[in-house]
Amino acid sequence: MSGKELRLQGCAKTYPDGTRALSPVDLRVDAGEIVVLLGPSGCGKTTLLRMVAGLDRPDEGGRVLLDGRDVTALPIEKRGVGMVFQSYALFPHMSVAGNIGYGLRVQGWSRKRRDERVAELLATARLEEFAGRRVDQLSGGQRQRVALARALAPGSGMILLDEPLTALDAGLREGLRAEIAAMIKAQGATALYVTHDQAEALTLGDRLVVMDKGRIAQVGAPRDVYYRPQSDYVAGFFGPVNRLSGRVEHGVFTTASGTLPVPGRPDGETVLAFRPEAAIVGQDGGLAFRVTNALFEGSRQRLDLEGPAGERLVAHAPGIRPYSPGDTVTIGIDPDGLLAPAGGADAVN
Amino acid sequence: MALVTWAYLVYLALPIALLAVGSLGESWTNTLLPTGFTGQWFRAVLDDPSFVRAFWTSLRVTGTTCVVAALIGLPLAYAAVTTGRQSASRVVRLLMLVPVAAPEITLGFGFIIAFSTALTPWLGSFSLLVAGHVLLTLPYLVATLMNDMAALKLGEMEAAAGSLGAGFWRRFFDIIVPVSATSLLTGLVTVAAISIGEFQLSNLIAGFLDRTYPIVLLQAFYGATGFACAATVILLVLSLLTGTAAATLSAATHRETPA
Repeated sequence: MSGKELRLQGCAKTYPDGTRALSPVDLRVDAGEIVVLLGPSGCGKTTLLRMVAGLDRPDEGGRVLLDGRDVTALPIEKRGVGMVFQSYALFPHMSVAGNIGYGLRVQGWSRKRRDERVAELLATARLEEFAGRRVDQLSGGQRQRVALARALAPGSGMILLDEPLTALDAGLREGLRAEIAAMIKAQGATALYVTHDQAEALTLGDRLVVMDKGRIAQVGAPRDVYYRPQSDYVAGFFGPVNRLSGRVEHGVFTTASGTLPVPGRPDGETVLAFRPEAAIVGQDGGLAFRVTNALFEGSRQRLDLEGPAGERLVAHAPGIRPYSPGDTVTIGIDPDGLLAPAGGADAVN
Repeated sequence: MALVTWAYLVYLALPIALLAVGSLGESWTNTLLPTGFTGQWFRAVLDDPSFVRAFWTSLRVTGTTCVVAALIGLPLAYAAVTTGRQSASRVVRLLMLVPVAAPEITLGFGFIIAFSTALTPWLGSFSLLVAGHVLLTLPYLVATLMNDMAALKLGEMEAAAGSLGAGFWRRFFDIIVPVSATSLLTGLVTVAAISIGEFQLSNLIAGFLDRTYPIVLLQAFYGATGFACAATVILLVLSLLTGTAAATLSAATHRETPA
C-alpha cells in the first residue's frame, strides 16, 4: 500500500461567534511524508488536523484533497484517514487485537486476511504477547502503539496524530518518537502530526509547519526551520537566539567585547545571530564575557553572560567544568552555527 | 473527629434499628422497647391487598421510569457531550438542575394545574405518574452519563471509530452503547432508588388505583405500630438493595475509566 497525497487549498476556519481560528491555509503533503504541525496551543494546528479528518468543515471556498479527490464534503468515515489521539481513545471493551482489527472488521475484511494483518501489526508494534490483553492492562506507551497500529491497520495511507505523546512522561516520549516514525514509514503512510513540542517535531518530521495565531509562519525541513528561521517568532520557538551587533571589516567582526574572524561575511554593520550551542565557551582569542548565572543541567550547563556594553548572551558549555557567577570567559562562535535567515540577516533582528 | 463520626453513625442507624425491632415486636405501647417476638406484622402486610397492590404498582412505575429515562437520557447525554459546543453542554446541565432544585411540591402543584384542564385531562393516570418520575430522576441519569462519557472521552473514541470507516449507527452499537453500558446501569439504579421511595410528587398526582407503596405506607401509621414498622422495613430493604447496587456499579465504572 502507499501513502496518499494531501492538499489543502484556502482552508480557513471562522467560528460562529466570529473568531478566526485559522486564516486561509495552503499546504501540500507528499505521499509517504511525515509533516509536523508545530505551534503553541491556540495556533490553529488542531483545527487544521480536524479539517483533514472531517471533524471540522473549512469555511466556504476551502478544499481538502486526498490523492486529488475532493473530500471536503465527506464525513470522517468516508475519508480513509486513521486517527491517533493524546487520550489513546482505545475501545475499552475490546482486546488489543480487537482494537487493531476493528477497522478491518468494519471494512469487511475476511477473517483470514484480518488475522494476518493484525498479526503483522502486532509484530511491527512489538505487542505480540499482548494480543489478548485488555487495553487497561497496558502502559501508556503500549496503549499508544496499539492506537497507532489500529490507525495503520486498514492501510488507508493517511494518518493523523494529535499530540500522541503529550500524555507520556519524558523518558518514554523520547523512545517512542523514533518508534512511531519507524512504524509509519514501514507502512508507507502519509502522516500529519500535531505537537507543541519542538524536540518531537525536529526528530519526527520530514518537514515542519510552524504555526502562529492561525497562520503558517514557516514550512521547511527541520534543519531549515531551526537554522534558517524566517522570523523572530520561528527562531524563538526553538529556544533562545543570541544577537550581537557590530561591524565587519575585511572578514573580522568587531564588537564591544572584542573581535572575531568571520570569513566571507560582507563588510558593514551587521548582527550575528546564533543559538546557545553555537557559542564556543573558552575559545582562545574570543570575545570576553562575564558569567552572571550558571545552571548545571547534567550533560551541559547553561551560562548567562554579560558583555562590557551590557549585551547579554546565553551559551551552552559542557557540564564537566564548573563556572560561577563573576567568572570571565572567552566566547567564540561556530561559523556553521550562525543563523542565516532566508530573508537576509536583517530578518532576525 | 472519630467521636463525631460515631455519633453520626448512631444517629443514622438508630431509627432504622428501631424500625427493625418494632417490626418484629409483638406489642409496643408506652415502653422503651416492644415486648414479645413475632412475624405477624410482616404477614399482615403481605395479606393486605392495598399494600400488595401498591408494592406491584411501585415496581411497575419504577421499571417503566427506568426504560423511559434510558431512552431519553442516553441520546440526550450523548448529544450534549459530543456536540463539540461548550454552550449546548452547559445548557443541558443547567436545565437538568431545575427538577433537582425546585421543591417537589411546586412541581406537584404545577402538574395538578397543567394536567387537569379539558385539553390535558391526564391527572391521576399511570402515564403521568411515570412522566413525573422521569422528570425527577432524569437529571441524575443524565449527569452520570455525561460525566462518564466526558471522562472516558467518548467523543474521541467515536472519532477514532469513524476514521476506521464506521458510520453513525455502527459506532452507536459498536462503541457508544457498550462503552456507556456500565454508566447507564449505574445511573438507572440511582433512578430506581429515587423512584421507588418517591412520595411528595406521587402523593399529589397518583390516581387512587395507581397509588405507590410510599403513599400507602403513610396510611399504615394510623394503625398498629408493628404493622407500620414492618411495612416501612420492606421499603427500606428494597431501597437499600438498589442503593448498594448503584454504589457498586459506580465504583466499577470508575475502575474502567482510563487514567
